[in-house]
Amino acid sequence: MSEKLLQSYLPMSETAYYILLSLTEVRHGYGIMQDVGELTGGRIHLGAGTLYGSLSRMEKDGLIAVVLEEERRKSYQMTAVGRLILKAEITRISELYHNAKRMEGKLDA
Amino acid sequence: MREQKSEFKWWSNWAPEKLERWMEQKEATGWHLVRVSGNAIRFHYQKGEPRKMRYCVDYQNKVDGGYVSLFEEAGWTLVYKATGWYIWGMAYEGDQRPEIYTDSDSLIERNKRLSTTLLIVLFMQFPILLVNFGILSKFPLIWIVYLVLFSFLTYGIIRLNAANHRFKNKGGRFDGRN
Repeated sequence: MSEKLLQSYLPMSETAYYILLSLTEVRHGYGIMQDVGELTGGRIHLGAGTLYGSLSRMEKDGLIAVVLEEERRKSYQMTAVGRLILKAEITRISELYHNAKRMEGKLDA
Repeated sequence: MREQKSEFKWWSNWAPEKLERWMEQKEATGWHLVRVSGNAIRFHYQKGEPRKMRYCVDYQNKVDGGYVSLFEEAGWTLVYKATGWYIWGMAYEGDQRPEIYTDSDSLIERNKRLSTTLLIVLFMQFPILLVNFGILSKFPLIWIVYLVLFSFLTYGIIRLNAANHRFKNKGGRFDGRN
């Protein structure tokens, strides 16, 4: 996988991050919207245009692939490349999280 | 037979949110959109109950069949489609206006697609002008037409780039359109 691809996706937008998280399982477009809504307790509602644009770009870059197409409705799943990029992002977020937790207590003092 | 009317509405394609507001206002006063015609400047209405409708204008260079089916699944109805322009409508309740673009990145992408098309149209004029220079120079008025066209396209491109600049300064978070 190219460094360029990693650089263009990291740090990841919330939109891209949650779409990838959601595509650990096979899902179609609307299924992704619902899943991301549930994952974030309704905080993130993906607009159809935003989702369509992200899915097109990720498919072109090989992060996700179409695994099923029925009556124009495409179902996607994350590819090996997508998994690597998501892992890199999770590593980055974990660092943020651990440092946040380490400092949190000091803020109240 | 219910009362019907049609209205012409000129709108700038670099600021579609103004058209969206205008269309939504019509619905709020009980004029239901029946169809859009004439290169998206003629709007046909039928009198009915006031209702909360959200309209979103989109611009796409090329889309696959998944585009329309994804929007429809999300509850949108296609009310107009031509030359890359799409107008989507959705009835809603409450204060949360549905949006097709929910982050700055995707709005920036849409504006880029549009400004690229305007740029191509602008540059396509130069070879046309060169080839027809002999004929065109006999009609001085045509230069005024071209001056207007060039100003129009350039202004559109500048406005789209300015909008993208604002979105970028705001970062990846989305909180309203303007």
